[in-house]
Amino acid sequence: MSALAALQRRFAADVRGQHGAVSALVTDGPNCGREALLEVYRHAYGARLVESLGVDFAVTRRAMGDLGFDLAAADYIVAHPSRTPSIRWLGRQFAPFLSARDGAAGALAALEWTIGLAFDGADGPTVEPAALGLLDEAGWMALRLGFHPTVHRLGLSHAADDEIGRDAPALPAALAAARALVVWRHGLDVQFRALEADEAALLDGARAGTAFGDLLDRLDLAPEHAVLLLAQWCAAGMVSTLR
Amino acid sequence: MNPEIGGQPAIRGFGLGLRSDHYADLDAGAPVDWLEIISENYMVDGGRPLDWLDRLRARYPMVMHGVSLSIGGIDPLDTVYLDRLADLADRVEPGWVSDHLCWTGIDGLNLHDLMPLPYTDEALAHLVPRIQRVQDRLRRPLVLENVSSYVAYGASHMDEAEFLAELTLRSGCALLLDVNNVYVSGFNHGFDPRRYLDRIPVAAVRQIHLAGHSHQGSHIIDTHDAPIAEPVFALYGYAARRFGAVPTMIERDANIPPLETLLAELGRVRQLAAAPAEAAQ
Repeated sequence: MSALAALQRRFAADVRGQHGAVSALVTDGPNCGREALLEVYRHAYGARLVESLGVDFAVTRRAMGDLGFDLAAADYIVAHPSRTPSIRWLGRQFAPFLSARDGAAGALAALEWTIGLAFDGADGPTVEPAALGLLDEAGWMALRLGFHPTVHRLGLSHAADDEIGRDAPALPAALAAARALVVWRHGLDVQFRALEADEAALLDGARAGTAFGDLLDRLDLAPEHAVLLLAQWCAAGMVSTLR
Repeated sequence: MNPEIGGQPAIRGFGLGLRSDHYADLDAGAPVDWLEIISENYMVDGGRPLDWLDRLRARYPMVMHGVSLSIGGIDPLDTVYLDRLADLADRVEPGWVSDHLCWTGIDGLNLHDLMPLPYTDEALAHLVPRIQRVQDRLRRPLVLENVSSYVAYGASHMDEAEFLAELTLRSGCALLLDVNNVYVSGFNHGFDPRRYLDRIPVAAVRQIHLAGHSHQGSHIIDTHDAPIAEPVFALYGYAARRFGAVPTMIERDANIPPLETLLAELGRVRQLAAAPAEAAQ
């Protein structure tokens, strides 16, 4: 191992908790000793990452309380140290990590993370509802939809969507049955709404690439109702292509 | 607005770091010559960040400033990151692309901090080919910033100014001279910041950063959360006399004030640059 590699490995170990690992390789400063100076890096590592999670999960932090959130975030950083150049992706596993401790906090974090994915997800074309009027019967039966890249589906165990816009959010209440949610971006604005069971099933089938005719048969949906849902998705900017 | 040459803007005068707090005010038009973006903030797929970026780029020349290149790291250069950085550069057509002379992680872990390098021949030999690979991929010269540091290494057998001068000579990279960082590191390591500036090659300095810091008594931390400190203003006056009309900007990353407050601070920087001899006293 080169001297440069050994130094970096020992410094990284020091800031991640093995205090003293790099002390022999650094010098005292003119105004204070090396341990006090190393403490700047040790403190900054945890503080910066916890702060970043607090920004990305601002509603979850307010609902949990600053202390509870920060302790959970510090544990998360130990369990899931960052492996991406951009701190934007640090929180990728935070919602499932929280869910293992507290389902309500985890559900809120899952919704916030998904909103974030929609916020800066890829742009894509959208189809106007009028385009559906150009399909003949055979076209309807064979129709497959392509969805906007920011369309995401969530199944929530807690009513996180009730808390997300509140001035003083609380940990969401448990639901008797999982709530189906769709999150997407229309233009520049992130949208989300709950889905009835039949719409969720139609959307999941369509996102899986199943033809419209097959979905009608499989889900036993009234064609008029299904067509209305498709038109609503188009009007909402959720659909990118009709194939 | 500055003229653009071949799609890339000629960066002159005085700029600010682009922060989302100021998007709307900048979109309305502000007396700032150019903007510096944090590259990683816009290495996303779409949505509002890129929409703002495109709108403001249409109005202001820009330079790109990254925090995650880890040019001094031991891990191989992250080609996915470099590809995305190159894509963003193609979109922005910046005056130049900069990052920090540091390492940010090892063994696939990212510390998200600007960790100092030892000033050794080994570090120089490690840096030079990596800088050249980055420049080849970006098809642009790379500009590197001196970081604030809190520790020095026993292994270093050069000081920072000597190391920077040698690095620019061997690699062809340019320097983003952070005058606040020179002051901070000078206090923390006990060197004279003016003698440091005296030994930086004038022709290598492409850009100057100014920022605020937090004085802890026994050491100074580079926090970017306060106005520029008076000793840093004085050091900037000295730098302006030595380096001339180098594009200069203020970084502010926390406790971000209204745009007009930063513009007033930038006005003082302009005045210092216009009369550097008096400021350096």
